[in-house]
Formats: sequence, C-alpha cells, structure tokens
Amino acid sequence: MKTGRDAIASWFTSLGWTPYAFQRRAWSLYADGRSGLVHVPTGAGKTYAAYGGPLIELINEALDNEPRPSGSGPADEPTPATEGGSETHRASGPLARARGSKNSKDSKSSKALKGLRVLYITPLRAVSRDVELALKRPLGEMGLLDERVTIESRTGDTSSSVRARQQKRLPNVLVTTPESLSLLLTRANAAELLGTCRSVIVDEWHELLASKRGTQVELALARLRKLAPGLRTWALSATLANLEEAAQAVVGVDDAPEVVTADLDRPVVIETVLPKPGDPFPWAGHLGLTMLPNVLERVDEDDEGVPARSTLVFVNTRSQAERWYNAISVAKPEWEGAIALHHGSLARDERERVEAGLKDGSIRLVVATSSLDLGVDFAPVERVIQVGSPKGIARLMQRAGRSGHRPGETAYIICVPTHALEMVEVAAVRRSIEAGKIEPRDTENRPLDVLSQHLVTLGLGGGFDPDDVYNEVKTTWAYRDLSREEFDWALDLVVNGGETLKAYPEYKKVVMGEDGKHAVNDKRIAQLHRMNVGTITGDAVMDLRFMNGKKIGFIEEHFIDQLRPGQKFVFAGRTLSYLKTHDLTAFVKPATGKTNFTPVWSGTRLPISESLGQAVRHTLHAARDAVEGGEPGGLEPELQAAAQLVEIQSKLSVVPGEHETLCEICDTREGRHLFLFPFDGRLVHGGLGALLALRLSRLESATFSIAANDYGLELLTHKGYPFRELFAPCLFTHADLGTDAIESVNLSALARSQFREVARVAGLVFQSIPGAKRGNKSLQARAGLIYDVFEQFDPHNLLLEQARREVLEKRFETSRMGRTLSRLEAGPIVVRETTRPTPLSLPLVIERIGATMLSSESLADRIERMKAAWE
Amino acid sequence: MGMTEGLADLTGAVETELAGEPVALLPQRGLFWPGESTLFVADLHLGKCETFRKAGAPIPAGVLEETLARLDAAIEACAARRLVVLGDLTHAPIGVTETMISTVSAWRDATDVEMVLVHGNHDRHLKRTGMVELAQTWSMDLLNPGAVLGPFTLLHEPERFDASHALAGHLHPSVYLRGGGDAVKTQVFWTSGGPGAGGTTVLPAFSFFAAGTSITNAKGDGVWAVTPQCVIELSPPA
Repeated sequence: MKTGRDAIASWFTSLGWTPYAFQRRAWSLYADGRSGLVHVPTGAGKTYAAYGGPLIELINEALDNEPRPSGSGPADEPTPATEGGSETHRASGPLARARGSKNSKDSKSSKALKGLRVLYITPLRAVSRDVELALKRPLGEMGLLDERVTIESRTGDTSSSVRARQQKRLPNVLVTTPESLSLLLTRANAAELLGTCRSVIVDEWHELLASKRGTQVELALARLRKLAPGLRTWALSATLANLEEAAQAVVGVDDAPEVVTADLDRPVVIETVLPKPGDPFPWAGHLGLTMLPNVLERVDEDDEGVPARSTLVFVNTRSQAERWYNAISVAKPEWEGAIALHHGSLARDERERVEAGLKDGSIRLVVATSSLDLGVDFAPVERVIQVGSPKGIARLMQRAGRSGHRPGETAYIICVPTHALEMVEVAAVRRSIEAGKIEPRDTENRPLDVLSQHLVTLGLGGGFDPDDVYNEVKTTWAYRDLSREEFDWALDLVVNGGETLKAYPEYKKVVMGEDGKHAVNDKRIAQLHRMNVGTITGDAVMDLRFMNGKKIGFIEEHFIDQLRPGQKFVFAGRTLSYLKTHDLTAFVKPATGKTNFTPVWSGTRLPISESLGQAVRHTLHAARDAVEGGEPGGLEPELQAAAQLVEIQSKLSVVPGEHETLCEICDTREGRHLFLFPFDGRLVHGGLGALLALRLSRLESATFSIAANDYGLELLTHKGYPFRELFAPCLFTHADLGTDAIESVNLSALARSQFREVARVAGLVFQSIPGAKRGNKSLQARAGLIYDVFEQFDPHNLLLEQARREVLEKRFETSRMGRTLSRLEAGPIVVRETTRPTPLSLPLVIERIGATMLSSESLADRIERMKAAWE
Repeated sequence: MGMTEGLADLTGAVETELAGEPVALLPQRGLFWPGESTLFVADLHLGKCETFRKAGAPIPAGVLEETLARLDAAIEACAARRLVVLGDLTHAPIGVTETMISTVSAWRDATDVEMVLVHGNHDRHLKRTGMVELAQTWSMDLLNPGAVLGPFTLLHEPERFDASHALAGHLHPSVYLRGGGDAVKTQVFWTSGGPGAGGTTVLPAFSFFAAGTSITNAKGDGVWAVTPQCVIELSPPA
C-alpha cells in the first residue's frame, strides 16, 4: 500500500538519489496547502522541490481512480490543510494504491484524470520541451504516464492541431509560457479549462520578477486563483536578495508566503584575464577585442582541434556579440561549425539551432548576450566567460553558477574587462560578494499598459465585471496600490480609447453589455489582440529579410533610419548590404568584403546596480590611495592593471574620492562637453543629464545631446557655451524637482522612446506576426509617430502619462535620484577644465550610445546650425 | 502671374526652379507652381487614424482635421486654383468611414479649387468603383500616374522621364542631420537627376501621421528640409 509520497521516495531511491531536506519541506508545505518560493542555487534540484508536492497529489489521484480493492486503508500522508483552499475531494484523504496494479494494462481512458491539475510556467519556450521531459520522467517510470496522467506543452511552437485539441481540454500537467497562459485566458471557456487547476509553478522567477512579463504573470495568477479556488502557487528562483518580496509577488497579497531555501553554498571564484605586462590596455570602448588572444588561450582544444569544453562567452550587447563572433571566426577558422552566435535579435530558428547544438555537443562555444541567460540549465556548460562589465553582483554570480551544475561545486567564471575602469568593476564585484552584498530585483509598480492589455484578455475570456476585476487585480503585488481612479483610467482606455469619448470615434475594443459585463465582441479585435498578447517588445524593431523573404532577424528602426541603400553592415555573423525598407521590413542582400559597421540596439544595456556603483566608488578610491601612496603592489591584480589609468587620470584631472563627485569641462572638435561622474548607473545618469540640461537651458538657451554610461554623464553642445560660469551645486537642488523632472522628460526624447514599449503592450502598435497575412500592412506605424500624434491631439492621454511615469520611475526613481542629488548638492564637487578627454570621460566621448536630445531651440534654428555639415 | 507677385505672402517658403518654371516649396508641405496656379501635395493618407481605431488601437481624432486645415492654409497662402494630389489621398478602405467621408466633403464644399488625384498604391486598395464614387462625392478628377501637365509628369511612385520633369510622392523622403551634439530627422523635398527634364522631385508626405524614409541623395541633388515654420535649403539642385 503506497501513497504518492512513498512512490516518489522509492523513485528517488531507484535512481540512487536522496531527497534534500528543502525538497521534503517544500512537499510538506504544498500538502499543507501553502504557497511560496523555492530559492536555491542553480542545479540544486529546484524543479523537483516544487513539482514534488503536485506530483504526489497527482499520483494519489491517479491511483485513487482505479477500481478500489477491498481493505484499502486511508492515506498515511499528512492530512491536507482544511482551511479554505484545499479542494474538497482531498478532504476525504487520498487513498493509497499498491504500485503493482499500475502494470495492469487494462486501464482505460475512463481512468485517466480529466482536466488541468498543474500549470508549469517557463519564461523560455525553447526549454519547454526539456521541462516537459523532466516532469514526465517520474510518472513515466512509475507507469502512470499517458494512460492516467497526461503532460504536454503549449507554446508558440505547438502545432495548431494540438492547440485546437487543448482548447477543448487541457492535459493534466501543462508546460507553458507567460504569453501562452494569457492566450488561454482569452478563450471563452477559460473558466472551464483552468478551473480544475490546483497548482502553478513559475520557473526562473528572478528573471520575470522585475519585468512587465512578471506583472503579466501576476495578473494571470490572480485570475487563476479566482477560477480555481484553493490554487497553490510556487515560484522557483536563484540568486535573489529580496526573497520576501519575490515570494509575496507569486502568492498575491492575500496569502502569507513560505520561503524554502537550502544551505547549499556555491563559492564563486572570479578570475580575470589581465593584459600582458607592457601591452597597452584601452581606457574606453566596450568591445574588448584586444583581449581576444588572451581569451582564446583559455579555450582548450580537443583532438579534432575544436573547443574541448562547452563554453559560453557572455557579452553585454548584441553588437558586441556580432563583433566577437566575427573576430573569433577570423582568428580560428578551424572552429567553423563548432562555434555560434546567440542574441535576441536573431531569427528564432537560428537561436533554437544554437541551443540544440549546445545541448547535443555539436556546438562548443557560443558568443551570447543575456538571451542565453535562461534555459542553459539543460545544457552541459563547463566554462563561462564574461566579456565586459558584469553590471551587477547577483548577475555575475548567476552566470558563474552556469558552470558545472552540482550543488556545493565551486562556481567559476572568467572575466574579461574591456577597458581599465571595468578592471575596477570586477574587483568591486569580488569585494561585494565577499562582503555578502547582493542587490535586490525591484518589481514593476502597477503598469497601466499591462493592466489594459489584461482587461481586453478578460473581455475575451468570458467577459468581466469591473468591480470584481478591480478587487481581483488589487490582490497582486504589482497592483496592490492601484487606486480605483487608475483602474478606471485603464478601463476607459479599452472602452472609450481615452478620457473623452469624443476624441475616439469608431473605437470600441471592450464594450459593456446589457448585463453590465464588459466583453470583446469584434472578431477582428479579438484576432489582433491574440496576436499581440505579451509584453516582450524591447525596441521598435523591424524584420530583417532577404529579398526572397527569408528572415534573418530583427533590427531597430533607428539603425535602419541611418542607413543608405548599398551600405554594408554585419549581422548574424555575416556581411549584408542594405537595399530598402518596405512595410516595416528592411531588405538586404549578402555582401562581400569586410566592414566593422554593426547595428547598435539602443536601450538594451542594463545599468550597473546601485550596490555595484557604490562599490566601484569605494574601490576606485582605494586604488587611488594605493597608487598615490606608491604601494599598488598590495592591490588585487585587476586594480594593479588599472594603476596606469589612475595615474593618468590624476595627472590630467583628478581621481574622485568615494564621497566626492568629479565634473570635467572640455572642448573637442564636436563642441563643448560637460562631464559629471556620480557612478550611479546609466539610467539615473540619463535622467540627471536631462534635468541638468533643462536647468542649464533656462540660464542660457541651447540644444544638448545627453549621453550617459554607468560611471557618468555628458552634456554636449555648441562651442562657447558657458558651462564653467553656469555650473554650480544649486543646479542639483531638490526644490521643484517634481516639476523639473516632468518638464525635462517632456522636453527630451526620453518619454518618446519609453512610449514604444507602452504602445506595444497597450495594443497601439501591432507586431508583425510571422506567417500572418499581409492584410495588416495598413496597421503598421512606428510608436514614435503615434507618440507625436498623441502629443499633438491628446496630450493628456493616459498612455503618454504612463510613458512619462515610467521614465520618471526608472530615471528619477525618487530614492536613488534623491540620494544622488543630495550627494551632489552637498558636494564636494570638484570641477576641472581639461585640455582633452580623460580616462574617465573618454568612454562617454567614444561611445555616445543612447544619447538623447534636450532642446530649448526651434527645429528651424537647429537645422540652420547643422546644415553646414550636410554634404 | 509673376513669381514675386504670386509669392508675396508665402512666409517661410523657398523659391526654386523646376523644368524651367519658378516654383515655391511651402512649409505646409506642398509645392506651388504659379505658372498654372497649381498646388501639388502627396501622401495625405486620409483615414489612417480611423483605420487604427477600427482595429482597436486608440489613436486620437484630430489628424484628419489638422490635415485639411493645413491644406486650406497652403491653398490660401498661394491662392492656388488647382490642387493636385500625387497619390495616397486615402490610407485604407476600412478607414474610409461615413464620418471621414462627410468631414472631407464639408471641407471640399468650402474649398474653391479644382482637385485632381493621381492614383497611389494606397488608393488602389479601394475598389475602383469605390474610388469613382469618392471622386464624385469630393468632385475630384482621377488621373493615372504618368499624366502630363505642362512640363511635368505626374506620378505617385517616382520614376524618371527624359522628356519632362517628374513630380512624385510615395517615399515620404527625409534626412538625418547631425552636428555639434545635435541630431534631427526631418522630412524633405528632394530633387534628383537635375531640376530640368529627366529629373524627379519627390514631395514630403503631407500627413503628419506618416513615417519618413531616409533618402539616398547624390551630389547635385536638391534637398530642402521642411519645418512647420519654414523650408530650409540644404543643397540646391544642379
């Protein structure tokens, strides 16, 4: 006589495994009806910790479905909690069955479980198949799969026939993505399909948590709790500092979450590739290709002359990935076929080819961006190399955790700083890890675009009553502070288009029926909504294709805007020649010859974390003291390598101390520059730059280009601008910060670029859908253009407000920006006029990425000034 | 009508010569030919916002009214007797709504110009009969691309004609300007292949709700940037 719990135990034993204490704890908590978070290092067995509880329940239920032999006793399993939540059928206690009977092949479909029980959400559809196999394994080996219990995936890759079947009845265990889950909620029979669900497991919660995708999942969970009372929701995460918040977000605000952790420490060893003594090392540039030979030395080859161990080379941007892949191909032509490129703008087929190759060992080295952060769990990665800034402490720990996979094993990562300041960064990360300082992942705060998309989803999924939905949405962590007024705004948006009915004739997305229920009735709107569900957008992208229609990937509008037909560039590891743009698709043909011109994707760079920024200021100060004291020998190897930068910075300007801020003013051919170095991360610097530009332009009118990196910001304007005379600590006053912040957001292009994402999520911009009919051509418009239309014809529209609010939150985040301003206002600020860019300012001059404009001049005046440069 | 006299109140416009005829490039995004008192515009995309709204994207109203008001302003500024639309008067059939038709009709009734439409690719989406009906409603003459008016060939999609100077739209031409830390993308008038016969002038999109496409200009091309206040010559045609 066995219970599901015994069955699992013997299955573990049969494999020579012993369940960890944290796994047993998670199973018991689940059985007690609790929800929460499992937080253990990558590779420690999170999946079975969260899946175990539901699995036990499934086995019990599957066995209970058999004809009951006489004399069967009650379960020896802990009695499930009886407080509201546990399903009534379990209150009687699941009965154990002898395993022997499982082999009887007479089980008919009538014995199969009906309806969904377990929903497993993974953020990466490429791994859904692997997850499915992992979930199937125990049931398969117990002989319960298929006849009794069905497990399937449902993602964008699932065939339409399977999807159609699933739309009538879901398997017992469904592996899906956040987007596919939202799509299920758009089905008119959503309540019937999902109402039998008992548990949800959300994988990689640390990745989802701080994004709108995470918010989308929170909303879906709130809906599922409504459809399936007693639902238990569990998240899995690794490397996270704000566990309580993460746990609360997955259970909703009406429940007290459990947090299951394990004392499975994985020490992190960071090794840095240093320039050889006497080799020049750059002060700027993020490519780091000068370090290529030193990196290649670290990659051992096997007998066939290809990399012997599977290696991931992480870089920070897609263009950097292109350049590194290209450089490795040139340096090691014999590795052809064994190396690959992976980034988020490549066509999905190509990415999946690479993931599969990594898994089966045919591809040994992949140059990747964060696109491969997820999902390599299933691949046998043995070596991880990080090129460029680690950006965050947790991030580097997590990437290090990809090497090897056994709990307790040392996580090992090789860092390749691309310029001298990154040497300081790597040293600062190591110091922080040693001090146990890991940064939190902040969650999104009530984004109205995601909410309005969700309302349309609910309108399709059987309709909704606004009062009920308001209360339901309020139970999510992301919308816990949502006011009724804000909710009504979002509702107005989908019902009326805006606050005034008059401004949006013929618009009706969600309509109120006679019974007061809000629903979507228009088939075309339903279809377009289903095609556009989701929050993944990143940038305003266009398809990149060959003339024969074959898709190569995605490219930013902004990059295409600057191309001229015939111009060559590198993409997907090949040289292409731009032909033309048509219907938001850029057409290219293969080209010969070499070019280093590579697309730059803006807005894709993560800022360094606040914790890391502080650590860098501190570490740089320590390096300065050691170098000026003539004792650099006692420093970490990275800081010794940065000693020359420190010396030259001291000579040309000054190395700021931990509590000082440096301001440099300098003239170049381009114009007059002002640099400021708060070390507070790119986003805050972008906001601070806009604020500073606004306040300066009030004193003396000008057009400023504002550039920011993780160390500081640059304002560039025409020659002769009196920066020196105007610059003063009062520019950083907290007085009127609120209104000035809003004004600088409006005057600069910041809100306009933020609007891209908002417009996409709120359904203003229709994504081009692979394979979709071309009939939607007339619905293609760039988000920037729509922003301009709103600004002119409905400047108080909520979505514009949201774009502005998001900029304010991200760039002017009250606490972080407030701390920065206080520090600057209190000083000391050291101002230096330099004859040329210094080691600190050079990165800003060389890589003016994501620069935005703030102008107090008319368009005509600006064109008049620039027309001299027109050729 | 003499050029100077005709252009007296064309504030912000730039005068140039095409096919030997004096013309004015207007900040309202039109090209005026005083010789025949004709105003050329291209790519109005009327009903584009309506198209979006019908598909469930809440794009505010006002674009249509603004477009028509600016058209009036251009007609008034140059006192044109004839208006030639070089294609893409409308955006898509679904956007040609009752309200849109009546708004345009009201404008048409109040505007005393002869109106000619050269078919554009977006107009073709309307079934032939639909367009004929619209042409009647809005009292427009319909022409196929390639029609000749004096020294000009009227087109939607640009092409070259040895014997005359072509006027076209379709591209929504624009350029990227940068310098001194500033950068701006602006719509332009663009003359390539010289100002005389054999050359082509492409007009900016008249609609503000139309994205620009960067042009491939060559040496000797005429390029004029358009701002709401004035037209600025970047390079004269040669």
